[in-house]
Amino acid sequence: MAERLENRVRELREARNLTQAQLADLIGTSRKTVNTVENAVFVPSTVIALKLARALGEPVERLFSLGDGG
Amino acid sequence: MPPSNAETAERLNRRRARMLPVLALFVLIQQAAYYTSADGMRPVDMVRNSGWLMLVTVILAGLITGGFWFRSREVRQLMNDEVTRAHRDSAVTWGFTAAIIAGIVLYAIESFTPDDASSREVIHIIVSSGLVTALLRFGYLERRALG
Repeated sequence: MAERLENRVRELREARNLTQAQLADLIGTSRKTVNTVENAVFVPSTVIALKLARALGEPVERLFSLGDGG
Repeated sequence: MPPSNAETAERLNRRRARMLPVLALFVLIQQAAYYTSADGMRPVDMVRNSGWLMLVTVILAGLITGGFWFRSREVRQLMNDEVTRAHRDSAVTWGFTAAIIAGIVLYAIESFTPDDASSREVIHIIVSSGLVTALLRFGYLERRALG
């Protein structure tokens, strides 16, 4: 079983010229949450993951993947 | 232009992360003060003990609720988001473990040297162990998350 959830949030956020604070504002959470998700320190809930996907205009499976390539 | 709720929450988040270890230190100083003075029933002792009781109650309430009770609901929600709740859960788990370990150690010590500590001293040590550990853990996680 994969221990780590990998994500492309930082890459996709920067591609859209958004700061962490702006993205946090879009999904109604704190910059701290965006920072910890980007650094893979925190595994977000499904709700936050879906909000991030919607804010970045990407399907959620393009944002998150299992560490074993899944 | 007044700061937005997000900016206010960010500023207060940083302030809280800085305050947590200071509060832990404050609890430890209170603990040290308790052990360096006589544990009696004089009015001054009653005031000191009541002060400690109020201190730990307020700190516990702040730890559990996130504090900053006089801020707007929106700011408090941003300060108490998913990550903060996860950090608090971890901090409370650590604090609970530390308190139980302190209780076990004190029980073991008491078995070998009976009547060495008053019940008030034992309660002080258990409460301080749990509270200080939880505050330090919460502060560490919050500081790391803020980057």
